[in-house]
Amino acid sequence: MIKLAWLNLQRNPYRAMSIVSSVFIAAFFCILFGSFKKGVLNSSADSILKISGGHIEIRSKSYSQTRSIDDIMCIDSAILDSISILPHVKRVLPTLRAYALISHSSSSSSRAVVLVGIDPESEKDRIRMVSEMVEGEWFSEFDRGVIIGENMRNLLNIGIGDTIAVMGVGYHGVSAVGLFPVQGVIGLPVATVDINSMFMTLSAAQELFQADDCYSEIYIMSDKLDKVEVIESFIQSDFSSDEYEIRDWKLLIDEHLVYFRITDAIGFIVMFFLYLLVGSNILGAVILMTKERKLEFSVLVSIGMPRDKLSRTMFYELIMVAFVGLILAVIVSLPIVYYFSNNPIPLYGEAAETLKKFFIYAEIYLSFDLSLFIEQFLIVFCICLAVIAYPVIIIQRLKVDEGLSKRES
Amino acid sequence: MNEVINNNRSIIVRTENLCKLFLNGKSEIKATDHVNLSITSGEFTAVVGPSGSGKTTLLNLIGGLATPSSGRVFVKGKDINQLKEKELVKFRLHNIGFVFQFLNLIPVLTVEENISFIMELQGTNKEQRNRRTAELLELIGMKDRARSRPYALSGGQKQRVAVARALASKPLFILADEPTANLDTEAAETLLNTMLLLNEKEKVTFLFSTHDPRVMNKARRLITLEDGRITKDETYVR
Repeated sequence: MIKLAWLNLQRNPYRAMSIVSSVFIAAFFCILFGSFKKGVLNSSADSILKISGGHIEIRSKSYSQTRSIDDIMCIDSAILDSISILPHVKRVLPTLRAYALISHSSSSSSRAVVLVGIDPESEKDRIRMVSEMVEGEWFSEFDRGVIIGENMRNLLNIGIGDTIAVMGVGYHGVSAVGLFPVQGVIGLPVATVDINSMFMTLSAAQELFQADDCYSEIYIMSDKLDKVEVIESFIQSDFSSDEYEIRDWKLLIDEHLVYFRITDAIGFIVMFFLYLLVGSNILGAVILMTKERKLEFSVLVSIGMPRDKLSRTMFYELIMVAFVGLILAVIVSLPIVYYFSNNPIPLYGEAAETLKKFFIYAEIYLSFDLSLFIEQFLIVFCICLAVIAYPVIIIQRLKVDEGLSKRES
Repeated sequence: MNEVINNNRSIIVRTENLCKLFLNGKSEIKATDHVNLSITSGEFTAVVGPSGSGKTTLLNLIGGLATPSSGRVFVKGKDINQLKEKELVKFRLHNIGFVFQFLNLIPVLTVEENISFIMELQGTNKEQRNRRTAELLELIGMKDRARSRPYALSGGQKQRVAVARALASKPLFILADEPTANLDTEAAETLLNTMLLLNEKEKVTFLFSTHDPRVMNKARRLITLEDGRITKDETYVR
């Protein structure tokens, strides 16, 4: 039966090619769109996470509840070093975040701000990805100045070189007071953050709050989203669940979940229609082939070929062409997806601006994930299996005398 | 059990009031109308009549390819319309050979594979298949074309292979629907001679439909159909 199926394919290569090309087009576009959908979601999550901090966030349980500087965590820097060399860890970003009052001679009132101590080198890309230096310069490692948001600068009416007085409570009740020159103004995309945040180097913040080796949060960036769980399992021994809270990216982007759900739902609907379209394309080719061969089926059944055997032959025949189409689609799409996963397509104009406002990369990434290829391969294969049911049903219900009379027409 | 009419010949096909109605809009067309006939083993019988007289329908009903509206068909004493679809296919495979007007052969198989195909479906072992195929190719005079594919054969050669294929399963009888309809005079003559040779030498029973006078002249029995009814049933000694 398999030999007969194979010979049948060779008999009419154009017909076989038409089905192969239908399956190929179906699988190719499904892989491409599936990869695009996953790529968009991953890059959106990635860009949002870069803004939020990282793929994993570690903080002490008590700080989570109180947000008090007394509850921040103090950790040996060796632990941070050991995390940074773990596989798939791209960057470790320790942060010290605390509240303080600021004032300037130009203003009679003081203002409460969030003072964020950051590692200038590691954070440079992350923060500057979505914001631009309006004035001044980004930090170098031992700078003792501050960078403020554009809106805060306008509110306080200050400029580069002006000095800001900071007053707050440091670690374990010590006073945290200091004068800091404004060394840069940054345009942060969210106005509330822009007006309330002030950045300084991590070492300057630790010195101000007298909290050496202490951090409010430690963020870990991974080079791959699907390896986050592996990193999480590695660090669990250093951060016991009694004392620390480890949240991964799924929890961190919870607030953006509506965006992801909408994107995912739109992607799902588009994929559904794509499957419908490719399914009907394959079905069309198979219907045509079945119609052409009704007489042949009738002759075979009338000379004594059992319908089950004939159905099996057809099944093998179509499975073979489906496989050829699917494998071709994988072979062709692999390098394309690989290329665009490393070389995203940049977006320009309004679309780019809008995405930037939502902290999302203004680039289209394709996700190069083998599981996606397997997933799409299996989905299109299932569509093919469903379509193969058509000739099988036709053979089972075939009225041989009517089939034979087709030769007259 | 076979119905014996004399010591040498038995009735292999018998129809009883065989009717087949087709609907044409609201009106009914009687393709066969109370047809009663018997075919005995070794016959070389032609069903003749004008187009639309019901020849093909009658052959389809006898071959179990169509279901009668009423009446019965007995093959080897068995009412074939009582058989289930799977049983009927198996019954056809072992008892009835078919030759159609066109597309008789499986295009992707060679001549010998086409002949052997039926035996393969029957479950005959390879050695027996090869022996029988060789015998049949010899009988139809096409030993030299054993490895040819159908597209390389003439219309007449294809029909001869179809006859050999129909014969491969050692059926009770062969049904041939207008076997010479698409053949030129010479090819039709050769095919008929082959069929006659098989009938005489191998005692193969043929029942075929035709409106070709050359074929009618060779038949030993002529059943004439008009509007689905048998109007004449004549036997000749040739």
